[in-house]
Amino acid sequence: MSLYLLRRLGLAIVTLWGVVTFVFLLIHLIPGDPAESILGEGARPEEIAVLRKSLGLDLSLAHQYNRFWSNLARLELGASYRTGEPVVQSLRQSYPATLELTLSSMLLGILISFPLGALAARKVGDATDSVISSVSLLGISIPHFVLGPLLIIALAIQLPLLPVSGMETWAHLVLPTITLGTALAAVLVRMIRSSMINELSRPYILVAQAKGMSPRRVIYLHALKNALMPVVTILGLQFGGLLAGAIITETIFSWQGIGRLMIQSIQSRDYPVIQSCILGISVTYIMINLFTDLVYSLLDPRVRY
Amino acid sequence: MKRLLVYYRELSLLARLSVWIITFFFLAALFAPWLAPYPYESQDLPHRLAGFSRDHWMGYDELGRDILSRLLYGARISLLVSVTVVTGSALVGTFLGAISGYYRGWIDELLMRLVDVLMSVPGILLAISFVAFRGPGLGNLIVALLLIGWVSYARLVRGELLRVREFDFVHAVRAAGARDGRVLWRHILPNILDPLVVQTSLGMAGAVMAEASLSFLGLGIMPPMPSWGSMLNAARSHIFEAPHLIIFPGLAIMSLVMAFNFVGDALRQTTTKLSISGTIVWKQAT
Repeated sequence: MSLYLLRRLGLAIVTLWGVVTFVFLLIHLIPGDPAESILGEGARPEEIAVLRKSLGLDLSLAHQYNRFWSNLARLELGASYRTGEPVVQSLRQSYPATLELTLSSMLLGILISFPLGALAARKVGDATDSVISSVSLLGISIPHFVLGPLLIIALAIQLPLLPVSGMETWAHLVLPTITLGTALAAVLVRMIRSSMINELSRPYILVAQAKGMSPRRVIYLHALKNALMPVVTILGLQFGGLLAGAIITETIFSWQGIGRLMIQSIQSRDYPVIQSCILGISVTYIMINLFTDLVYSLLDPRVRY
Repeated sequence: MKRLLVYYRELSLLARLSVWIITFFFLAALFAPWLAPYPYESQDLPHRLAGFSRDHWMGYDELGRDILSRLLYGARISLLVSVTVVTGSALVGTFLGAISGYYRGWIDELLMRLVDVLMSVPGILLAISFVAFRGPGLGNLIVALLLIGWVSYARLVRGELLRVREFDFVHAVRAAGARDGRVLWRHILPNILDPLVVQTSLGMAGAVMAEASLSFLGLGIMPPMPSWGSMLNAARSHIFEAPHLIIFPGLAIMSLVMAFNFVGDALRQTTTKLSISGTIVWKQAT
């Protein structure tokens, strides 16, 4: 247990270090001189020199790396080139919006996928099973940027039931949540199905059936509970898909979250904001996976690395 | 080739249909210059956003360009990127995974920690960040997708190697004095081909989707080159007056991704079935 915990923590720390280093190096991926690229053509050499100095580009790479870490430790993420606003400020505004969207999508995904996955597993090989499996494969194959606009056309334009985009009221949350949530459900249904099938072939199910327990109780009381164990980890991993999907979904629905902030900043070459968004999204994902793995190891003591 | 035929015969109807859809898209991509009724960049501004007619089966886009022609050339870009990315990822991933699983030791430890780290971050986020700083365009897009693509192959092949390397026949060939390269290439690789083929098909679906996603975000293929993703992006501002701008590229992406997913899924079932029946035949023979 403690060895597992240590290894898992170690991985999280190494990953965090890797992400921070990657984000630090990104500035050096800019083709040519970063300061020149930021100021654009027609910048005077003095201006470029000043910016180079303020970015620390005149220092050695090791020195810059040190500085990056110490700024990060003090949560000084710099200021936006575009608005001059401190990046921490913009993150604080957009982060909750992304969490709201991803969590509501996860809820919708769970609500759709758990009953359907269990049903497909119970009727494995049946027509019901193949319909559910095929529809879920269809769901996996529709990108967010196709499903989102199609939903807008159907439910906001043809049938004007819901707002097209924005985030003023609760109704604005519905379409982006359906876009992200159904895609998640499509992935989850398949995993719950195979996890359930696996669980249903175990001896204890036979015992439960042999002692005369009703099929409903066998499935929902015994099998589902055990089948859900691996799903905990999957939910954590799928959160990454949700966060990545949020980048696109927020762009489609003008949802002022961290993903939209990131894409807008990329378009205006607002590098400090982009870097902070990448950090924000990755750190969230790493922490959630660390958390789910720890919860899982508590729930199921058999888990070992 | 014979192996592919064996695969095909075992596929379900839906999966066979998918094989034909994929073939159709490859042919469309290959012969786009001959099939396309109009050049993809020629504009007819008075007809911008016009719906479909006899001469323009899918209508005009926001600059008065023929949508069908752009879709055909878009298939070129889409398949060019995905085939390059999947081939590159599979080669690099298989090589690294094979070394990792065959030699074990510190190189395995190092590579697998790198794989762990890369899998702990959403892949598409890495690709987006790379292109955000490096700049959009075909070349950077391919590099970005390769950067994240090799990981799953490396992990898969390493896992398979750990299983296969202890088989008697591997010990036998090694005892007979075969060099490591020969053992890996001639004896181990053919035995791990099935899961690799499955992964490649699913990987194609992922690559088509990833290219379209990045192009949709304005980080992939740059105009005037047509990409399904960037067509959808441009269509967004005309969603009220011209939904056909969204529907046709959307259908193209969906059907191609779905076809690759169906084939991959069916192959997974078929290969497990084949390998099980293969074991039975082998057991009866001995």
